[in-house]
Amino acid sequence: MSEQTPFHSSLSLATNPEPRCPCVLLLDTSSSMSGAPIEELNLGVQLLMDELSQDSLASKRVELAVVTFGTTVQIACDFTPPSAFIAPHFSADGPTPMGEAVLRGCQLLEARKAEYRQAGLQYYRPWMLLITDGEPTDADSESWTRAIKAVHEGEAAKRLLFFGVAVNDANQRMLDSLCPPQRPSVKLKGIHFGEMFRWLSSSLKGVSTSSPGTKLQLPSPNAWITIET
Amino acid sequence: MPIFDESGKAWTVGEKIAAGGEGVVHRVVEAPNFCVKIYHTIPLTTAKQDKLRALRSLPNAIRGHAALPVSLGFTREGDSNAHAAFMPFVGGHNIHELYNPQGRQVHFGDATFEFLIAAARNLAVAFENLHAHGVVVGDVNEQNIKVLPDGRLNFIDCDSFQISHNGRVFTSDLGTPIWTPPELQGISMQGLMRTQNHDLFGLAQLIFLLLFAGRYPFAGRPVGNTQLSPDEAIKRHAFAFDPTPPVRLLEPPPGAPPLESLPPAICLLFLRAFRAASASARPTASEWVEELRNLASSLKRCSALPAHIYWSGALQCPWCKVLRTAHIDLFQGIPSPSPPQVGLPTSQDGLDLADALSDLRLEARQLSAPPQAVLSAAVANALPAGQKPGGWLGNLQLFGMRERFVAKQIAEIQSQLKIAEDRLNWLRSQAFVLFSRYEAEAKQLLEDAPDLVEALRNKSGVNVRALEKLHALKREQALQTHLRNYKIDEASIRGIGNSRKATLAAHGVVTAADVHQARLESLPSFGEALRDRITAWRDECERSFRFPPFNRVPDAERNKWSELVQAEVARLMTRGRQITANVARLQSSYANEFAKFQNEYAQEYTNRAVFQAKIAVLRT
Repeated sequence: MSEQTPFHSSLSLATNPEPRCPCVLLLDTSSSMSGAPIEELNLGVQLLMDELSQDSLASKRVELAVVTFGTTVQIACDFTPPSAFIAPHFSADGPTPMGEAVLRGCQLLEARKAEYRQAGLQYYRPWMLLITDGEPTDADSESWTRAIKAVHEGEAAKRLLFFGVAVNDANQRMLDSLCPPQRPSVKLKGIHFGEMFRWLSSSLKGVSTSSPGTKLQLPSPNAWITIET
Repeated sequence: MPIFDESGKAWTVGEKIAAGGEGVVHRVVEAPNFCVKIYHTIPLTTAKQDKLRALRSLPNAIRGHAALPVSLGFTREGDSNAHAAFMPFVGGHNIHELYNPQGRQVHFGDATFEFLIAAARNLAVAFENLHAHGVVVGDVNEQNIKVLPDGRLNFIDCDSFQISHNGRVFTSDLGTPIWTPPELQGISMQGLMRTQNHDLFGLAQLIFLLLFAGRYPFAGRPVGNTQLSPDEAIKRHAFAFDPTPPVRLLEPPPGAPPLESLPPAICLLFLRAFRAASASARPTASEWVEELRNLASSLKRCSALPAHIYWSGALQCPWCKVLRTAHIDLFQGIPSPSPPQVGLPTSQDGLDLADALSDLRLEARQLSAPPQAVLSAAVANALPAGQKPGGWLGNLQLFGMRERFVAKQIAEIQSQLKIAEDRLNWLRSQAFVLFSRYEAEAKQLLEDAPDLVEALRNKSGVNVRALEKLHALKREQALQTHLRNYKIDEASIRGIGNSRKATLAAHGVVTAADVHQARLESLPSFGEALRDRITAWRDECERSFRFPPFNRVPDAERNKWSELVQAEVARLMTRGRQITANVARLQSSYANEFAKFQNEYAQEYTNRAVFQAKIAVLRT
């Protein structure tokens, strides 16, 4: 079945020829996230949009998509510039189909990249950030192995930047098997999503202004990660 | 905490205006034309301080093009280690807000292609001056050039310039990939000696962006399966608009004007700037100044859409072509001699019309007696001087018949007088009937005049208030749209299971936007606790709603609103004028009909006066 495409997308590609930096958020909305974590997550996503909208260049370059995984894997929001982003409200329910979510995120990215190419726009290496407080309930399925392959190959070919964020009692060992070997998952301090999204916002702003010939310099995530000692 | 300048004077740090990797820039409270950059590294390295002093001593000729530091800044008076630098404050907007069509619409409103050429030429002039004084900009990028509303430009963040002073070279050390020329791609900028030819890559790219509606020279549709990152495209000289590239990697993007819509001389400059051979000799700033001046003097206005201005030598209007093929109008604004003032349309006409409308009513006319002179003349005419009415009756006196005759005469005239009197009364009542008829019609015409008057006074009077009202309306609309995204079906509200959700849906409560206390109260089997929870959920949904407060609405948006208000005022005025005209028409036909009555009335009134005079004479 074919999918609906929002009308604004092609128009904004034509009136704003800036190079794009697509970013996919993969958010765990399984039942274990319910209560405070999901509320903090909602506020965090809104904060990310607000921070990005206030940067006149980043708001022309960054595009965000949100995929949630709980009872089902859902595209909560297809690629949208921060200013036009209407934060969907997430509620928590169901299992944790993480592998399927990663694959859906990759599909979204490929589709968007095809649109960029069609419109003759440049794009930066896409970002994918996965947040979970559990472990994949589809780890025995083919989706999980395909997801790992997609992330690892994408990273190796510099076609993707993947970040895994573990919340509370997340199974970090499983998450690390998904994350690229050179960038294992990090553990969120409590449920400080705000600090994490603020870090993501300044990292994304930095993408297009980093110095050539140097490794991508990301701001320090120390404000929001737990460092195991 | 104040910051001291080199002369020992203290200045108060004001509002923060920008933050970057190296430091934070603040306004200076006592000197609105200046700002101060406070560096993160405290104190600054000796090399950095030496560089700031060298920049400060650059010739004044450069100052019109670059916000060079004017003094170092210190935490204490007489301190020798600087941590800050004072520099002129530059207004305007970053250059990317001008070349990007979305940014242009927001920040430069009706800027035409002519304006973009003027800005491009000013940019080349700035480079020309800097280069003439041996300065290399180094970190040319979209965020350190500010464009003023009149099209002049200034470099900011000048501490990243590469300069040589007393035989010592201070390098730039900064750069971003999409602004780095091919020959420097992938090379670290730290301590790298840059040349003016490197700068000229950035200049050419900026001019290209300005002239091609924000299109990057190295962005296009990939040919085959080539996937080029932005920096790879530059490194491989993949100039998408090159008509004859050695290897075609990119096709020109759709929705961009073709290269040949500009004069061949300019096209050649772009090819020299972006092709592989460019590493040795890109077009100089002076060459750009020259050719951009030529372009500015050979423009024409599109006959179909006057907002489209283009090179007169082009085969067709390139902006119309983009409009036809990509359905976007890159220059929509109708160039006006004076740009509209932000937010405040003035519409005295609207207010005047409102006043006129509020006073508008059908005035009742009163039948009036003819002037005394007319009456006297009529009487005099009927009773010539010295002649008594029925004078001949004198002869009858002898016969003793006079009394009888006179009485008969008086009775006759009195009956005529009675008829006249009746007639006058009838005319008065008819005049009233006539007025009532017209007044009813006028009332109908003026039915919505009070609303119109109020609308006109609101919209054209206190304009800010009108905009605020519009803002409130827009906010409400946006809120409703926002709330409609939250489906009750998908919400988890304690006590609201599937059957209750079905009941809600059956009563039209489907999304958070449908939750109203009154509607909930009309639902059977929903107690107060449940209603409160549903309302709380709705309030929860509203909490994530964001809408800029009125004072943070961008100027362009306000302008748009104000245009909406103006359009509305114009519409109201058209209606107001229609009403005024209709009432005026009514007024005049009432006047015509009334005039007939008035004539008759005057006639009858005169008759009565004559009859009365006759009777008076007869009685003497």
